[in-house]
Amino acid sequence: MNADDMPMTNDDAPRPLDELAGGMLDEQTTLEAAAMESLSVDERRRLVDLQWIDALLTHGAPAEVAAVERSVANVLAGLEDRAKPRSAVVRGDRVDRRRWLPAISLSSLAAAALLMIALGFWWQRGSQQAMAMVERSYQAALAPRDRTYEVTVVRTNGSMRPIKASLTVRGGDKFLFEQRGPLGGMYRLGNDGQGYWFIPPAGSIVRAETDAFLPAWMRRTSTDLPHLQVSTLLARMRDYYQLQRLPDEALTAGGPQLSHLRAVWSAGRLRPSKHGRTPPEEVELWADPVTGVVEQLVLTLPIDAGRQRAHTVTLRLVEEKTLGEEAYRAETYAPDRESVMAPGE
Amino acid sequence: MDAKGVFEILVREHAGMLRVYLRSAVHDAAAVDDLFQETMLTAWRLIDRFDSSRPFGPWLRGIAGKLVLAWRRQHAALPRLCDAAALEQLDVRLSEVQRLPGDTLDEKLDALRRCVAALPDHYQAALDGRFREQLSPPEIAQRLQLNLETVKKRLQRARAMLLDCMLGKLAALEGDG
Repeated sequence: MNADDMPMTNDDAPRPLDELAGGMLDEQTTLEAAAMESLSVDERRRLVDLQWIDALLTHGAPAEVAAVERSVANVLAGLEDRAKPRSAVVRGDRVDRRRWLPAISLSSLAAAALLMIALGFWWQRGSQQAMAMVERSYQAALAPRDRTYEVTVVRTNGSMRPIKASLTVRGGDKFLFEQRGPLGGMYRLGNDGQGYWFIPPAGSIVRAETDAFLPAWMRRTSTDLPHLQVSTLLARMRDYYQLQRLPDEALTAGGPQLSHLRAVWSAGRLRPSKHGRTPPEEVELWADPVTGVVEQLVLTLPIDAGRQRAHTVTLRLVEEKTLGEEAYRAETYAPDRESVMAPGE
Repeated sequence: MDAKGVFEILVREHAGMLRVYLRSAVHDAAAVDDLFQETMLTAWRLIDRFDSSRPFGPWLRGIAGKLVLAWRRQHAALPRLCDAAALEQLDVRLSEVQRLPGDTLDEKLDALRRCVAALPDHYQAALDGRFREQLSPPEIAQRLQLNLETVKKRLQRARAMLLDCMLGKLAALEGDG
């Protein structure tokens, strides 16, 4: 526990006001006007503070993350229908830009510039249908269901043997990636909702709060596969790619028809991130037309000069099942190993 | 970049904080969506009245507060306290959150995550069911094989402890500032 965290005791009984708040917040019990008026000023303030805490906790829920994105998309769509404020037209953009810039961070500007390129493409090309499909798949990916995908990685345009791995995901934050190494040892990478972990065939469990350490670490351990989280990929498709809806298609003869789209990178030149990861230049998606569940994803990455890294990565849904929380915890796979924090953590 | 482009950036920057404000005052998710949309579009319409020497968030919440009060007048008994004093208090709380370290709301909420991590495991389990998995108290009771009253008490107590923890962090920030 950090020194600045409060001491936690668990044996105090909730105050009557906290019970009242619990009824309102957890069970949507309504408060009659008379009961509300009988509260003291301090009680009213505490009730409002508890409402605030509840809203902060709700903000982190996967469904709320999606709701924020949806709300923003709706506002941006609404702005398209509105005329620019009169003064902005009269004074011109130059004046307006000067008024606004101090309130905006540079990182937001950069991100928004990329997003606007993507947004421009969406509206100009009328790809709302494809956008809706990605959004539906994104929502399905955030649901707390356990889905396992078979991952096939082809390097150097097929001149080396494809690599097989397995990716199991739950919602937007938990995943388990398993790959057998060339000498038969198993590499596992995951996130238990609290942080990332990596288990090499031998040695300590490496933990980190972010995935920034992974590319370098995986290169050192000859595990050069891209690590993937389906919901993250879908969010990026939505934000940085030009989407094109393709005719429905079955993946197997006689199989169900699936919604199908292609996403092409449209946010400027493809460059590796500061962590050394280059985004796919193209993604093809096949999804269940009703539930939005991703049935197959094919990522095409730029060919690297050394022709060593992945070129196409295919994720194919193999099963949906219910797993315990332990499936996403490192201790389950390496109960006797110690944990170390990744360098820089 | 034109005015609309800049406004889009502000929408994205302030979306999370505005939704927290609205969710604090309004329980109905559909109403939150509507009020969010109306607030942002009203802000766009009134953008010339915004004083750029002042922060954008409180101005946006000022608009949202008026819309919430108008919405509130159409609804009698509600499971939230959201009169003018409550909205003012929420505005203060969110301004304090804005001062927490981090560029984005998500980063600022590391403080809350640390408070949650400091809770005993059984409280964390109840919160996980309620907020991450969005289960009702009876569903959490079934999942954790607990009596319903125990789950309710744990949620109440966890929320109270988190409030104390967050207020402590905000007070420490005030002291540092």
